[in-house]
Amino acid sequence: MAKYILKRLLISIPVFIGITFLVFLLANLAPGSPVDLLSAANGMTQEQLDAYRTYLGLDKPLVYRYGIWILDFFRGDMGTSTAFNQSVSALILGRLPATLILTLSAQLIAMVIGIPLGMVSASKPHSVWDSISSFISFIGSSIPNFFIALVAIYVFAVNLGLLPAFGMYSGTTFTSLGDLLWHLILPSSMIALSLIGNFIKQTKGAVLEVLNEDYIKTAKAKGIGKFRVTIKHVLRNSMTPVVAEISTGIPFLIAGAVTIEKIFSWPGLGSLMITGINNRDYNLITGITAVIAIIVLVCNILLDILYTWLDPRIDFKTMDK
Amino acid sequence: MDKTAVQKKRSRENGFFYNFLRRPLAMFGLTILLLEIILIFLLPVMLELDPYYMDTPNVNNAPSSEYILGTDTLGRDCLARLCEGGKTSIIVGTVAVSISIAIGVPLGMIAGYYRGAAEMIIMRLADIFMSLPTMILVLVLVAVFNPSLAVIIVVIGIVGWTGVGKLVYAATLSVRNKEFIDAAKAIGTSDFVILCKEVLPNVMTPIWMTLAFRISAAILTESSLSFLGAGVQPPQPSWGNIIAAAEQFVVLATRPWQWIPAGVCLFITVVAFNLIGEGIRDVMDPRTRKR
Repeated sequence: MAKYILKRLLISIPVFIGITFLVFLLANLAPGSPVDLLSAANGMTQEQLDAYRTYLGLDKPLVYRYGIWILDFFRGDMGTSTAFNQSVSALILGRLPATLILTLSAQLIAMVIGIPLGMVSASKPHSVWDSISSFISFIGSSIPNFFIALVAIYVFAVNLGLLPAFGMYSGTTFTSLGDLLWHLILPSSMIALSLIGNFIKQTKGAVLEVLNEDYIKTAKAKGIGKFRVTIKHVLRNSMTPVVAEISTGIPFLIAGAVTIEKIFSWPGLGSLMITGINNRDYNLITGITAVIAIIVLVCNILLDILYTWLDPRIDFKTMDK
Repeated sequence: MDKTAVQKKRSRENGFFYNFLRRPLAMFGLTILLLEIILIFLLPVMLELDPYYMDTPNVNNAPSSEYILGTDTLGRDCLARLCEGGKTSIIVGTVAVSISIAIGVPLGMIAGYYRGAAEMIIMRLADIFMSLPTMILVLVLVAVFNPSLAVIIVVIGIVGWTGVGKLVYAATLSVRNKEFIDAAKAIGTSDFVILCKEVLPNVMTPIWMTLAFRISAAILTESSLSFLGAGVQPPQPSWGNIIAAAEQFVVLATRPWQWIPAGVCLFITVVAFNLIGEGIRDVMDPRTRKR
């Protein structure tokens, strides 16, 4: 087990270096460098521009700069954002909680709704609940989340005036949990909408498979109540594919967060990323993508560990292949 | 006589089109999609619509007999822009997915057939691409190369190769040791010919099965990008950048005709492709066919 986790970590390192180098390379291939933007705006002399370029380290070869960048990254230093004139790591740390609150609550909503619906539709195929859940999962996976989010603002914020249309707090800072949750309802449920379908499908498939197993028949034959069979035997054994769903869902979650954060002016990483891209802020773009890559890679490893806890039959020697 | 008739009937009943045409939902999706494509391409010609003409005195007109879907903030005909945006979406979706297939299929086959170093390099490359969410990777790429229609198509296409590549790789692994490959090798067939004539037909099934879903995903990616301002650039319309008008609160709250039709069209298109996709998958996948 420990050996397997170590191996997974070791495989993740080249992937992390690969993706950060790719993004670093791309960001530096970009036509409009911050120096160009500055000279266009201020009409600086050539000497001043050269001095600025040296100050930013843009006169060194690319691989050298990448080496410096990655070493600094692990020391927690991602350079200075040219758009905000502030340390990138401070900016990211400041925005990360908002994104985590948004994405985790979306994930939670999707699970709380999706898993029970999946279980019900598996145990009662062709029932009303089965039809409702297939309908929800189809709509959820087909509807563009930025459009449905705007419709939701139009209905719940503009016309009904029930929920706030933007921001994380009513004021400028955190006042109460209730206020935060009130602002969280619309954005997180909009992200959840696109995730629910996958949870329904995965849970339904897994439960259908488990229900056919002999040990369920045995449990029923022993006279264990239906409720206990479902909770103790079916649920536990059908959770493995659901966990897999969480891990494959993480990239979608982050991607969905970008558009939703922009629509609801949610002060998270996604809206920071858009600002970085609009201002050609290399340091900010590479910093955010590196942090997102780490989140994705770490989550995948953690979920693998969760796998074994849920299903001790998984053999790590065969998973190495 | 009887036996061959039965066999013929059975083989016809196993045929792709025989089964696909008998799926009401899939046929519904296909009909909607064809109807939409015809409308998008015919309406502008029939009604002589111009998506770029600014009728300055008539800005923000509500739908009327002159402008069926009203005009936008610059006085342009919303129906004209809706059709033009639809062309963009359909083109981006189909061309981008073709690019993903053109990259993913050869790379997946090479990785699965030769194994060794090629496998190591190609599959690690796929892991690298997959460690970032598609949307983030596309955003970075588009920002670097300055968004234009061609750049967006190519970028969405390139980023999508990993999904295709992994499927083809898995399928290639499962056929590479089959007898017919050994037989081809034994008679001295070159690797290139084996890959094209023996391996390729056997690894395409998972690609066809996921084709429609890939197109709808590409359309959604493009519209999200355009919505964020990192995709198709105005004045060229795209459903995404038309909907982006609703980011202005006035438009969102008081001029629904400027953004809702584009969203509805986008939704219908994605639904149509997904219905077709489910039909194709159910027909091609023997495990779900009987359901």
